[in-house]
Amino acid sequence: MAQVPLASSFQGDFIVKLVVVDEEDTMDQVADKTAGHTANRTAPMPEGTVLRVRRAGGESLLPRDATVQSVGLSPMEAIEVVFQGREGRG
Amino acid sequence: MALLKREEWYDLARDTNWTPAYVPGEELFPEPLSGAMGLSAQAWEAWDEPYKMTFREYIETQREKDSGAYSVKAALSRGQFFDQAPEGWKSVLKSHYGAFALPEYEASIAEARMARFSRAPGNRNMALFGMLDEIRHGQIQLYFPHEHCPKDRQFDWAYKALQTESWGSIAIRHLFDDMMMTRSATETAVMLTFAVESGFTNLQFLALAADAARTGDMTFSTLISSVQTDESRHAQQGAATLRVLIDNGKAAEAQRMIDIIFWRSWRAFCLITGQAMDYYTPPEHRTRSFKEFVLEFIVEQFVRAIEDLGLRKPWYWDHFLASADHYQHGMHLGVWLWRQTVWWNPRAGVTPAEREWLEKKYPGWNDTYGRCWDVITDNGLQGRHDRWAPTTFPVVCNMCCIPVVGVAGAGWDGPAGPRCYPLNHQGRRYIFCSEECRWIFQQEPARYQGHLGFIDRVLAGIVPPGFEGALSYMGLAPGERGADAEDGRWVESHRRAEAAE
Repeated sequence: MAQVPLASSFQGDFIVKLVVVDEEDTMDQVADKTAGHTANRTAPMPEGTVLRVRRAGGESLLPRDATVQSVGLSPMEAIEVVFQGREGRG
Repeated sequence: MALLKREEWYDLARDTNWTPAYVPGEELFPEPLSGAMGLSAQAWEAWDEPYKMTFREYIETQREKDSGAYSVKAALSRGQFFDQAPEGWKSVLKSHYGAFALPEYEASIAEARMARFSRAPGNRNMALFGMLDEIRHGQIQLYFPHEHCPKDRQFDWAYKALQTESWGSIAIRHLFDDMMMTRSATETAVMLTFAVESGFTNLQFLALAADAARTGDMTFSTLISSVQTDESRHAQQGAATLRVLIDNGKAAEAQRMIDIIFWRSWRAFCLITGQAMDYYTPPEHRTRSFKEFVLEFIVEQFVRAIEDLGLRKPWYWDHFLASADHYQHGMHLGVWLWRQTVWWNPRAGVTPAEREWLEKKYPGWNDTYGRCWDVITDNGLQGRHDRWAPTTFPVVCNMCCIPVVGVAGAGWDGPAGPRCYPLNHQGRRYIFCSEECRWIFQQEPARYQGHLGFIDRVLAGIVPPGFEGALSYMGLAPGERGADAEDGRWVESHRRAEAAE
């Protein structure tokens, strides 16, 4: 299974981080991997938060069960991981 | 034999020149090294510097300066300051020496190129003194930290830093190699002596000297202000070069050179000087915030200089001004988080009192970067220091080689939040931190396209796997790697504040 490095920005964080995912990972798994590097380490994540992924600068959230391969995320593409229902509201 | 008075010979000697007869002019002054830019020999002969100096005067003046600086050091070495200096202040010194000592030597090579290859004879003359200045600066900024090496091996990075592949070293080399080592005499005169030396070095060498004096570090304060007196003399080469370019129809080219190097320098000085002023200098000794110094030294003085020449502020000026409120905070946070990857001990600088200072100087700080530091502080208070360790790398800009940072917390989704500026070029995806860094790449892609940034090297397998692999690749042995300057004790100030409430 091929690995895909992504440039990921987690809601509220101060920096874009390198997150390496697998091409079969779902968006939920991608969000989880990003959160592992940031949530409650450098940015707060309230309990019960559902994380969603969108392409950086994009409006629409990617389907939670879509895979990296199916949405066509390419190496070092920039994504944002946001809190469902509070996207972008810091 | 009586010596001639200076005014009897100076004007003749200062711009000695001749029309070559044995080889063509272009062979004596190859264009890539010289940068005549199509201007005639006559046009270049009009180059004139306001601050004139003879070799005899140079030697006398410089000897006095060195006597002053070295004797202050000798006297104060016997004192207690260094042993009692806060660790955070020592980090100011370590980061300074590592970042600047060898680039000073690089600058002597840049000056030597002007001394040989500038088409302006006056520039060739002045650059000789500039070259000697920079040799002095390289030597003095290696000699001063050297006495601390027996007690603290991080001071060895004054010499070692630029010979390693630490991410900071890559960033510094990329910047200074661009402006000093790979440009014509003309470009270097504009980029190094005008854009960097007339503006930005004043932040690190003059403004910081004020903080150093307040902190009680007279050795460092004397050193960097002494270095800067040379700077203000040899920096004049830039304005004189710009005058020739502008008078001969090359204003657009001159503007572009300034626009390129101003932004590049800004990103680098945000990193090194920003953290020193806003976080490492003991709060009671801070004369001003980084932004306040930027407004005085860059915005006021530098702008006056370029407008006097008839040039414009760089096209991204508004963004530059806005970024003076935030780049340094993100960079500082990043350096603290990835502290093992630097050769000094980052000081967090976020006690309750310091956060009040930050909020006063940067309204909104607590709601933005403060939110990240809240998490870090809480983890520290709970003894969750495992969460203080980074678990991945930051994404690093393919131009400035500094991580892609932006406003956190409440500002995350705003225009200044952390975001990438990608570019696909000849089948490779480049990532930049800003429109400006991307624009710079697009001005001369062939110049920059072959460089592999730190993350490119990670992904290509050039950096050995894992964090230990990365540290070893960066040349950072145990004992050299950075640690929290206060071993995390600063969180206790928050515990006490909470208890008091």
